[in-house]
Amino acid sequence: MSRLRDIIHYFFHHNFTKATVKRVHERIVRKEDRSDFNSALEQCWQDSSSKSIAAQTDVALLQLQKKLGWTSPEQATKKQWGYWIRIAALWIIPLVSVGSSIYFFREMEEARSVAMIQYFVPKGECQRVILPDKSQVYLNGGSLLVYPEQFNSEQREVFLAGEGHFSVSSDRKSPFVVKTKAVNIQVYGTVFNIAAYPNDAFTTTMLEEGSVSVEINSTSTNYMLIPDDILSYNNVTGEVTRSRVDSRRTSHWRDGFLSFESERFETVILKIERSYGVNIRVMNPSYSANLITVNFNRNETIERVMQVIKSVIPRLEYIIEGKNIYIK
Amino acid sequence: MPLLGKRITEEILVQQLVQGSRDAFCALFKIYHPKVMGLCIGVLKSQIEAEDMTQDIFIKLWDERAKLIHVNHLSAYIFRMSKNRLLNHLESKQVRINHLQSYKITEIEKETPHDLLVASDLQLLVDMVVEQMPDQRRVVYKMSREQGLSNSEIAEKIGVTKKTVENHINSALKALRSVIKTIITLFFC
Repeated sequence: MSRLRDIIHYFFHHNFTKATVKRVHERIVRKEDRSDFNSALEQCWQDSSSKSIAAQTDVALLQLQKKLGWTSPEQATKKQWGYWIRIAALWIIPLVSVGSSIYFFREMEEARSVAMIQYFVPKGECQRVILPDKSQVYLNGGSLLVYPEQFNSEQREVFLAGEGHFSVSSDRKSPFVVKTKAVNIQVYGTVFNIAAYPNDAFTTTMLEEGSVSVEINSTSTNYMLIPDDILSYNNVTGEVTRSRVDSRRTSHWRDGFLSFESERFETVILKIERSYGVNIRVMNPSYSANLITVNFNRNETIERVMQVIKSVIPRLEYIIEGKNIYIK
Repeated sequence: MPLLGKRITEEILVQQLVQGSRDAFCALFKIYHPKVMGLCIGVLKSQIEAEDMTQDIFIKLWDERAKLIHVNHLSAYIFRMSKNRLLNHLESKQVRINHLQSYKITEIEKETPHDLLVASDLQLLVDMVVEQMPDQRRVVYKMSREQGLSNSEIAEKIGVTKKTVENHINSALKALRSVIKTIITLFFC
């Protein structure tokens, strides 16, 4: 008698660490007792569906209609607005704090005739947005994306403050441009990641597939990137560095991982703040010389993450007080 | 009567879908999306993967709507589609992982004797239940069962009374028993 039924049933109704999820998935794909799996899953099918999932149905239907290419415009916009207005309530405060948003509104005045959609992702979350041209953007926590309801024919323009992973649908006639405070990225149907948080020291563009050109706003210099290139612009000194990475590894934040490969202490701290929605005060500047390489998955508690950081940096001490963390 | 009514409406919707009605498809989407998404998220445990899979399943339902002409139970049909997709996805993921760590392939493909499988299943189930316990209870349980410490040793180590330790152990065993109904006695008596 196999225990697969009990395993599936228990697994289905609880959440687990990545490691356990992996063990169960490995167990499922064994071919020994498929019929047990089938009947256990059928039971789950009977029990599945919850209110919280039902709440996602309308948005999912819109996405599907877009994918199938049959959005009837009147119907869709009406519904979309209801959704956006609900979300709008969430942005008001973050919007004020994102100082650079003023910059966007100036830009937007020029194109007043087009309705703009602003999508804000709170800290500690990661969300996916489908743009009017079916391009897909994963936004990391604390990011703001502004884009028009309809792209105009010459150029597809979006504005980003924060981090986004873009999969852009190819359209030779209408280039796709991501504008940020420090750089503009011109895209030709491709997959790339850009981190342009207003408070970060660096704006980094990383290319996974295709090609992009990055224009530094202050100097109007252009850089063409090839896959696995990472271009860092120092927002303070204006210095530009280009290096090579394994881009698949570094964009893991979309799947809930936090991966750091020889990253600066400050960067690591900022990313932890964003992923966990906490405030970290670093009271001692001497840690900034450290380069950190470590991987977490998002099921890790913040307590555990801080323990690991502590074990990586000798002599580091910290206190957690609710949402505030002090590093001495 | 309402159940019968629901079944008839669904049959009509399926007929309309076969003929290519988008409205019928949207209506059926609204009925089945929560179930499919619920199933995918329950198995995949990743919102993003589950969203993608759910969309794929419904796109397939639309693309292959002609097949529905032979389908009597839409629910069972959508369930089978979803199940097969999920299995394919997990298998291909497995293949990818194995590809990365090729030394593991032999270990997984090797036939495991039945009793060994039962034992490893049980271990997995126990680990899953233990993982769901509140932090302190889990610590107490592990000290007791895995490190073999006595209740008073545990009480001293983590600074609680012996009574608290006993309560934790009892609740832990109760949680395990409720999930693992039979063999448990062999392991814990």
